[in-house]
Amino acid sequence: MRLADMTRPGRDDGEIPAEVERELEALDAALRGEKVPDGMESLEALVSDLRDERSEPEPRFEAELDAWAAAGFPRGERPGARASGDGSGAMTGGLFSRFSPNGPRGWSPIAATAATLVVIVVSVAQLGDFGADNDQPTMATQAEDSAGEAAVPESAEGAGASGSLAPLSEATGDQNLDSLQEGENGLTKREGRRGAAALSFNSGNRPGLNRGQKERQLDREAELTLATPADEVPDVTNDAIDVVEDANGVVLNSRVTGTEEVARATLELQVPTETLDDTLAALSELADVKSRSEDAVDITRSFVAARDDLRGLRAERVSLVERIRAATTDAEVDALQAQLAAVNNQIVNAQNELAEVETRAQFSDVSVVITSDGAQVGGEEDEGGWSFGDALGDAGRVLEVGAGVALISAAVLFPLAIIAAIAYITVAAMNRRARERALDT
Amino acid sequence: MNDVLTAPAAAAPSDAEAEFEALYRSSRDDVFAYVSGLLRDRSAAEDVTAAAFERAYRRSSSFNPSKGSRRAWLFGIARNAALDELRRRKRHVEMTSEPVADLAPAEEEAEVAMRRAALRQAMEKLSPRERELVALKFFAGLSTAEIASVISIGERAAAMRVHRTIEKLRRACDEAR
Repeated sequence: MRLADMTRPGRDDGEIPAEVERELEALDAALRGEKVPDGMESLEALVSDLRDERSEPEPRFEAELDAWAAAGFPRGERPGARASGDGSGAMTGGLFSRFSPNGPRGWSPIAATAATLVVIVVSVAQLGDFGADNDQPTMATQAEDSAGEAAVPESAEGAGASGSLAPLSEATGDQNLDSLQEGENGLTKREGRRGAAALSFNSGNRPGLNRGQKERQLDREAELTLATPADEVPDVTNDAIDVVEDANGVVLNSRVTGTEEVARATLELQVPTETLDDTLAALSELADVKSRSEDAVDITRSFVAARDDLRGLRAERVSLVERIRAATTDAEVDALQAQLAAVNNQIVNAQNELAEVETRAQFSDVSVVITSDGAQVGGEEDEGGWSFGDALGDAGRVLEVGAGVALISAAVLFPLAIIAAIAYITVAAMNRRARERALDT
Repeated sequence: MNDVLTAPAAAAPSDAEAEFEALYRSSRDDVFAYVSGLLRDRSAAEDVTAAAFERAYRRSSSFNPSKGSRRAWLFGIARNAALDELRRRKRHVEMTSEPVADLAPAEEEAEVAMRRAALRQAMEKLSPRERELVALKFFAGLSTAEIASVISIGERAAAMRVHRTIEKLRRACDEAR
């Protein structure tokens, strides 16, 4: 029988010819020891002779097989003429025997273990990203992202509107490159910590833009948005003002509006630049940080120019005074005094200009918004205990992760299952053909 | 063959065990006869018979009544084991076939002796597939439907093959006489 025959069982299905059916019925009757219909006595004799050719098992083998069966067919104790004497046994042989119907059962633990390992490895690899993605909803992380964006200033004097720290380098020359990179690291470093405290820039690194370069002047600005329940907005606002005053800063403007449900406060501050980072850190601890951004603009050129202008004017003034003292005529004195008056005016203007630049460098503008929008409800409970809401949240998180693992597992196992099924079907078909070929000689 | 599968068990056997025990009791000798007729090697037949019952016992849960009788399922397993043995034998040393049965007793009547000798000669002329059909039908006593299930063909095809094999056997016997 060819494989084609096996795969087309219905090829010669249908009615069995009456003659054949009668013969088979007579055959079955003869096998049962019953009388066959007239005219088929020869068939009865054939059956009798063939039955006489039937081999019967030896009593020894019968007893061994019965005992083995009674013991539940324990492995390694199979009876038989060769199984007991030949360790290899009669049923072992060749590659195809490994794929015999018993084979896959032997493989199943190995295959299951391998598949499990693959799933675990892939799941663990994927869960890193999966878990990270699901950590995002926390407000602190959002603020962290905003803090990262703070590394890109929206404007930079003399460096173009595209901002970022690179234009600062262009403005100040290569000598600032190292300090700029250091500052960039300080601005963009994500420490992976949760909560507002994690957002505090390293005050030791952050102002490093100017370290080792005393003349360098920066005009820094910061914006900070804090979230807190509406009823706490006034208190947080007062605390923010206290923080600013403790830092010798100035509250230029403050405004609190809202109701019991919704409230918002805005503060326009000037904070000494040298304490800006500490102040921002302290402000960040007052409530949940929703966003934080900082700009740093290099104003060294303006500062140096204003200072040099002032020095030049003062030198000119000294020169004029000396020339007035040395003047011999009234007309000469009058002319020099007129020049001196003009220079004095220029000096005043220069002083004002320099003072303005120094003020920009010494004080940073800070805009703080304290809002109830996006504040966590029951935030105080979160700090202390574990509420029913937390339980629901945790349960949802567990289900979310479980679903993720299941999805990843399915994604891994489905192709493996298809491959395994194809392999099994192929091997089974090959094995079947090989078995059938054993009868072809 | 009494209580073959219940001896070590203190508790009553389950339905599955009871069914398998019944199958074992009713089929042990038939399986051996079929395998022996197919392999024509008593030693190998013992091994294959034991292996077939072991496989069937361990995989008894795989039996699907919609695909045939339990007896046909068992003979399918025995057939696979026997064919594996035939393949193994082909890959290794070709073994000398043993006589299927002992020689007829000396006191056997002459006519019967001649008939049986002719039958053995005729059996030698059958192909392995035809010998398998003879073994399934006459040695194991399977019905046509069971034979069809064991060798995975349709019932009509099985009936026709059995019919043709018998015809061939008859002709060969007539020629041998």
